[in-house]
Amino acid sequence: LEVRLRSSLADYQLLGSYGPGGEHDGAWLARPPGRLGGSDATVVVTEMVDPGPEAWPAFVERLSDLASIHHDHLPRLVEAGRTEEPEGVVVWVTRDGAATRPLIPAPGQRDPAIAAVAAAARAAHALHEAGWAHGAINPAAVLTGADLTLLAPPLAAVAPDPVRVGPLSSALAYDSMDPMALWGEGPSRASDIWSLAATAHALITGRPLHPPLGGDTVVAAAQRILIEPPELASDLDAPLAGILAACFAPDPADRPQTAAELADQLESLVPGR
Amino acid sequence: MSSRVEILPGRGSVIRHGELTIWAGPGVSSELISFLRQSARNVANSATSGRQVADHIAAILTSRDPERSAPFAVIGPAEAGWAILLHGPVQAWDGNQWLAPTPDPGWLRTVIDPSPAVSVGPAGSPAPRLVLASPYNLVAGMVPGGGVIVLPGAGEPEPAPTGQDRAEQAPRPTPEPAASVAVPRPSEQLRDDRPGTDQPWGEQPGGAAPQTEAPQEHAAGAIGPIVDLRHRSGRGLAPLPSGAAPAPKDRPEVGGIRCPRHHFNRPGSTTCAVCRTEIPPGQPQVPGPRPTLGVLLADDGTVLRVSRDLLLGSQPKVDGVDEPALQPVTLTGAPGLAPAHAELRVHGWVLRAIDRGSAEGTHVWVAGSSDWVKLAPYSPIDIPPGSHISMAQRVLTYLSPWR
Repeated sequence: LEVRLRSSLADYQLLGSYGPGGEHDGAWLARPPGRLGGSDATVVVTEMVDPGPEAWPAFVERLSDLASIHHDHLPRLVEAGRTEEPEGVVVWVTRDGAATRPLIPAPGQRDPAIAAVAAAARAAHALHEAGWAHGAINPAAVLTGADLTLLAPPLAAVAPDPVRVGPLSSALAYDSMDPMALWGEGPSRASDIWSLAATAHALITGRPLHPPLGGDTVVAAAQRILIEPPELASDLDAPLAGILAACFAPDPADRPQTAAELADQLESLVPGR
Repeated sequence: MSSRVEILPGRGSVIRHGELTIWAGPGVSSELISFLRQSARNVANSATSGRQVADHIAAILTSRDPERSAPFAVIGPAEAGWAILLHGPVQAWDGNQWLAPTPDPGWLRTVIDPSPAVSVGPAGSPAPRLVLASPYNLVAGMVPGGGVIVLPGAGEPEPAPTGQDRAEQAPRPTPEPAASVAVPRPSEQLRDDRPGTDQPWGEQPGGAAPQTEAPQEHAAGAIGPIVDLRHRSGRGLAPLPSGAAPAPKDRPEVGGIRCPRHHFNRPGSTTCAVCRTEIPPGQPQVPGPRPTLGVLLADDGTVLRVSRDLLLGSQPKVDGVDEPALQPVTLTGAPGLAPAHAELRVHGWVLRAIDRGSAEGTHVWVAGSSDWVKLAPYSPIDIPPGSHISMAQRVLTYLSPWR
């Protein structure tokens, strides 16, 4: 058992873990160094796999592409570097990232959850229009604060692994993945739309799309998702169930054509929107 | 057991601290010598000193090369094997192969397995004769030398530091660089080309941006340039197409049949793997880009995409990758796993497993059979979906939608 107690990453002072998975998520709340103005503001620091010196220029080019996408519901990337201990790439993310936290599935929070996923869908649409598929939309990627909802940046897509699909550390981590993406086809508008709907389902109902999943091993969970169709919770209201079911159509052509279209549909269900 | 470091005659300098050895040829500036020497001192106690210094220098060279024609080489241990960085007109012989940088980029960083030694010297020099009983051994410090032979595990433990570099070998010590020359630590060599460091720290809703202090060139604890992403412009990629991702352009063409909704399927399929509609019999075969064949589901939850030929092992990047099309996949957690244990090759719509002569072998449980079968080395066997592949203590399950 490895226990890591860390107080700093590069010259950022770590204040605590950020995501629901603790340090295993590789994301921390941190105080920025003086060279960035210091201040009392906190930021989110994310640790990634080091691409190595030879792949670094291409990595930076991809990060720059991503950083150039500005949207109200996307965090802003600040800087990136390779660290010596522990070795790895660190991407420092903010635009008040610290003011938001990943949403926790909580039954009974239908309207706020729908509004949050709609905002995430708007962000996903901005990514799609800029040539990016997110590829890792799940409840932990929807970040909310007092007056702010963000979609976590698709950092895994900056250095896509040619072989590994994931990272998938637990059985439930598979639940938001389009089966075609799990089969190995690349992330796309259609797979992100599936994931947005699966995220909405998890946040609203607190239940996975494949009900026994929580008790499965990771291997069994992957097999179940690859083979069995998703099962919507029976207590979803009909309009919402209809919207989500369309996103889970096996043929991508039958799903909403854009994430913005899905956002429109979700917002139509929330009073006052 | 430490390494033995033998000095070859000729012009240049040899530096050793810990297990890290550096050769710098004639014409290398005193600043570079100082940098290399201090780098070696900084990592002398590290078990991965070679990898650390090689990576650090490679990171610098990736962005700029201050002395493009300077011949120097860095050799030292990495997590697996020995890291080596060659720069300028130098060459190395590791017992199996010659290594030398290509003109562009003019440097090479790789990992080798010296068998039993690695020799480094100026480009064009003959391979030195190895004298296994040689009494010469540079223990620590810097001496003149026209090249160097490093024999991992053939030396004696380094004595406790005395505060002075010392060499057991005969050559006269080279005068140290003048004390007035600044000796930067590796991290201090890094400069940042980022624009806009005078820019304030982002925007904050509901408040003014804080003042920025004098910009620094790098972050403590960083081993490369810090890239400011706040003011970067992207390349302006085209929007994604609607629906699913198109097949990558490097996918080979195979024969298949189309469902009524035009999805490409394996010949003989009766149900579309994408939309699940029935495929009437008698569909004509047409060419199309091969979809991802399926996935290998590892016992730890890792999902491996099967869209090209794979080489699996504990260090497949170091050993055995002799084909660019063979994608190395590192598996961990199995002590008996060979560096390059087995290949999985995609042949049309079929997956084939090939054991690469591994000591523990590769076992397959073919779907529908009653027992595990040990593969004969280098004899391919077809792997139908639902089969298990066992290597050392790791088990992979092959799943495919193309039944």
